[in-house]
Order: sequence, then structure tokens, then C-alpha cells
Amino acid sequence: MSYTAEISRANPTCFVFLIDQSLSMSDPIGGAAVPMRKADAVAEAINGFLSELCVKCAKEDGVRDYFHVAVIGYGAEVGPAFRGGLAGRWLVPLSEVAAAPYRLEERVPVPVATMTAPGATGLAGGLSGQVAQAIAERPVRVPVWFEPTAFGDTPMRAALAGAHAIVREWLAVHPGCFPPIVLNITDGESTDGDPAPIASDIQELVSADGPVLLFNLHLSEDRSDPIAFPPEQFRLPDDFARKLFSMSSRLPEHMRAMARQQGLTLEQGARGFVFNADASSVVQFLDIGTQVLNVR
Amino acid sequence: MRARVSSLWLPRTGCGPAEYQDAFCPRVDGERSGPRLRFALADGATESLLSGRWADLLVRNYCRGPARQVAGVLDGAREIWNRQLLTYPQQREDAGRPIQWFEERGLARGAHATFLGVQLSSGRAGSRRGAWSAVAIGDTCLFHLREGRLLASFPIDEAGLFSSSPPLVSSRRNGAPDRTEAARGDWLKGDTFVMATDALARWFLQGAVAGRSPWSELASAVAAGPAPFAEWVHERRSLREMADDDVTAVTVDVL
Repeated sequence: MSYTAEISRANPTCFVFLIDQSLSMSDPIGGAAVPMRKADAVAEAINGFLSELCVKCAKEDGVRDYFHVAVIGYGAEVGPAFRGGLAGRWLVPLSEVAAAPYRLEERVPVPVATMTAPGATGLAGGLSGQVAQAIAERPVRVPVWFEPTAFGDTPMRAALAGAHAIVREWLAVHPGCFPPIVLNITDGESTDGDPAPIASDIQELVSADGPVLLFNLHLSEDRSDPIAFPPEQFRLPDDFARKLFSMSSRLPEHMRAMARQQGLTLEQGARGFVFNADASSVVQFLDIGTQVLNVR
Repeated sequence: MRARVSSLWLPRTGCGPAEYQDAFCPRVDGERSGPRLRFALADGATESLLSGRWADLLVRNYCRGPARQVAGVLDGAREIWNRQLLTYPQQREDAGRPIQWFEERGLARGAHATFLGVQLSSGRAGSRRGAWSAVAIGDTCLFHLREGRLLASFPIDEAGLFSSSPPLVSSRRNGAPDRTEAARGDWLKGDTFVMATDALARWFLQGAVAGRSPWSELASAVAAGPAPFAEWVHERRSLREMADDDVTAVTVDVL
């Protein structure tokens, strides 16, 4: 059965993010609580995702390298999008990602009072309650690796070619890994040629645990409802949407299960593709599309 | 009553003893006696920080603390944990390893572990029989064996019921009640109780369904001692019969 390989430091996997940084990414995104550019929403979602991944893989002795991560921007140029100490690096072990954010912003987390049910014993009352509250209300530092950028065209084909090279090289060294996942976030059509053939090349790469996964998300400024994880292309509005659909892998069963937990009912054959995504569907796309099992 | 306890454990592949996140109590093998004997095993969650230490605190608080109900044991452990956590940042500063940004959120979220506690109580004086009771949160399992037969499997009795997100005991009381399950029964002299964390427990139940006698195979592996036991686990892992996770087997023979 595919997509069941255990992920460990001895057998890590990788995520490759492709981020459209073309000029149109400076347009506002639909569905945001406060007005926001598409580039801002994506930067926030990617930084939030990386931060959460580091927290989940953190142990007393540091962040464990269950994952290696690449963030590739494509706009005026195609290349690694990390800033600061990681600038110029393509695929980076998660421990190094954690060690070198571009900057840390200090924020106060949600107060513990709002997270505690009335009448709960133990930490909710007495000295231990105060202690827990003191711990939970300590300011936390929020990392930023990736800044919003919106300039230039949409060289999606070159970005996919970059991802293909990274993943092929990775598989040569890690042939038994959980299949790498490539997530492409864009708001427009490719300006450097048809991306479908290279997308197909990516999907033909395999580890012993199954084919590489390629998922696509299309951002929109309009208010029409997102089409999330469709199983068929006839429901899609135009050729561009159908093209991205055809470039997207089917979601493995465990990702569909994760989607069900989030209240989505996905049909058999649902693709890792969201069309007309708003701000919240970017976060959901990353959540579902990076879901893995058996992290050890 | 008297019982003999022996525990064997092994971290997942590529991890050292310091990275092992199961915890059990008592830590020392050998014979125990008394009107009431307690044993506990917990499995620290992979995705939370300090979970091995939390698992250790839970099992020690159950076995060594006053004989309270499980809710009191868990809340008592939370009290101790949160007091310790107040000084933890300073300890890290003093050790020259200040807390990193990625630990702050993990510490605020709390540590998590499964928990299994087992109590054996004497019967009437001179009786060959007594009572056992067990409490569990999550998928750390108890197997009750008598004369080569599996009498009880708790809290999971089918290999298909293991999941990647079992119920866990959190070091933070966040309003949700602990998902505690309880079981009880009788023991006879000569009975064996095996406590196992999920990878081993799942292997055990898969073997039972397949009509093998996994308890015999496990008993031989345990009796052979730490090195042969480790070799036996490695072999199960390489044959993909057992998940590559921390493995702990606590065996209690009623004497």
C-alpha cells in the first residue's frame, strides 16, 4: 500500500513549495477577515505552516529532521525564497529552518481563560491554575522566513522544473521515503510555456512507497466560492482550471480522512487541487496537502 | 500477594536511550509483595515536547503516590508538572541552552502521553485468587494470560482499532475530560499480565487473530533477556510485522 512509509530521521521526506510571486499577487485576496494582498496571505500561510512543522518536530534536543523543505518563488526570477541566513538554499533540513528564521516577531498567545471550560478542575483553579495561566500567557516569538513578493511574470514551467530536479535528486538518496509532496500556489496562467509536461514528469517520479504528489492551488480575488478538491474536471469553469486539475495528483486516503475531520466530504478520486481559493482555503490546502502518517 | 515484574524496552531505530519516550514503573525488576501492587506504563506522544518526562511522571505518580482514583493521580501529576515547568526556563538558561522559539509554543500546549495503570489486590488470607483492576487512556494495552490462553485484552482488543491519534493525557487541563477506560477481573496464582505500548500490542493482537500464540513467542523473547529481546524486535521490524516505534513490555507473573 502506498503512502504508509514511516517518516523518521533515518528515513525523512521532503516538501517543496512553489510560490507564484508575479505582479498580480499584489491584488487583494477574497475571503480575508481584513483586506489583504494575495502575496501577504500566502506568506502568512507558508510562515505559519513552517512554524507549526518546527513546533511539531521539536524535542528537548532540538528540531528533528523528519522533513526537508524547499520554498521556491517564481516571478521576476525563479529561485529559493528563504530570506536571511537561509537565502540561496534550495532544500533545507527542518532543524536548520528552525534555527534560522529571517526574523522573530513577539506575540502574546490567546489567553488561557478562553481555552478552559468552566468548572474544570486542576489547572483551572487555585495555585496550579495561576501557574498554568502564567505559562500559557508568556509571549511567544513568531518566526518569519518568507516575505511577500509580487513582481514580474508567472514562470511556472521553470518553477516546476526546479521542483522536479530537487525531488529527483532527493529520491536518488532516499528511495524508500514517504513520497515527496510538491505544492504549487499560483494566481494565474504560466507565462513560460505549457507546465503540464513537467508536471507529469514530477508525478512519474516514485519512491518505494508510491508516486510523488503534486498539488495545485489557484488564488482568486473574486467572491465566487472556492472549488476544493474536485474529483472531476467537468465541474470546472475554464481551460486554465482544467489544466491545473490535470496537473494535480489524487489525494491519498489518509488526506481524504483528514479532510473529513475538517468537515469536507470528498469523493473518491478527489484531486489535490483548489480553484478560486480564498485566504482560509490556502491554510486548509496546506493542512490537508501536507498530511502524513507515521512520523516516528 | 507476591508477583515478579520484569520490563524490557527498546527505542525506535536510530534513537538512543535518551530519546526513548515510553515510561514504566516500577523501574527495577524483581519480586514484589504486599496487599496491593501497582504497575504502570505510558507512551509519550511524538508530537509534543517533554512527553517522555511527562509519561515518567504519570507512571511514578500512579505507582508511588497515595492510592487515589485515577482522576486524582492525573490531576496530582499536572500540579507537579506545572510547578516544575515554572522553573524550567531558568534551568535551561543556567545550562547554557535557553529555550528556543519553537519550544515556547510546545511548552504552552503541554506534554501528552497515553497511560495504563494496573492494580493487583490480594484476596482473603491464604487464597489463590485476588482481584485486578486497570485504567487506561489511549492505546497502551494490558493482556491477561492464564495457562496459555488470552483471557482479557484492554483497552483495545482488535489490531484494527489502533490509530495514529489515540486519546492522550495532557499535562494541561484544557476543559476536556480525560478519556479514561476501566476494566477489572480476577487473578489466580500463576497468571501473567503483560503491559505493552502500541507497536508491540498491535503485533500481539495481530498474532492472536491469525491463530498464532503471540504470548508464547513474546514470553520466550522476554525470558531471553535484553539483547535477544532487542534482536527479536529488530527482526519483527525488518519483516514489517511491527511498527518501528519505542517498544516496551512489562511482564507481571503472579506468584
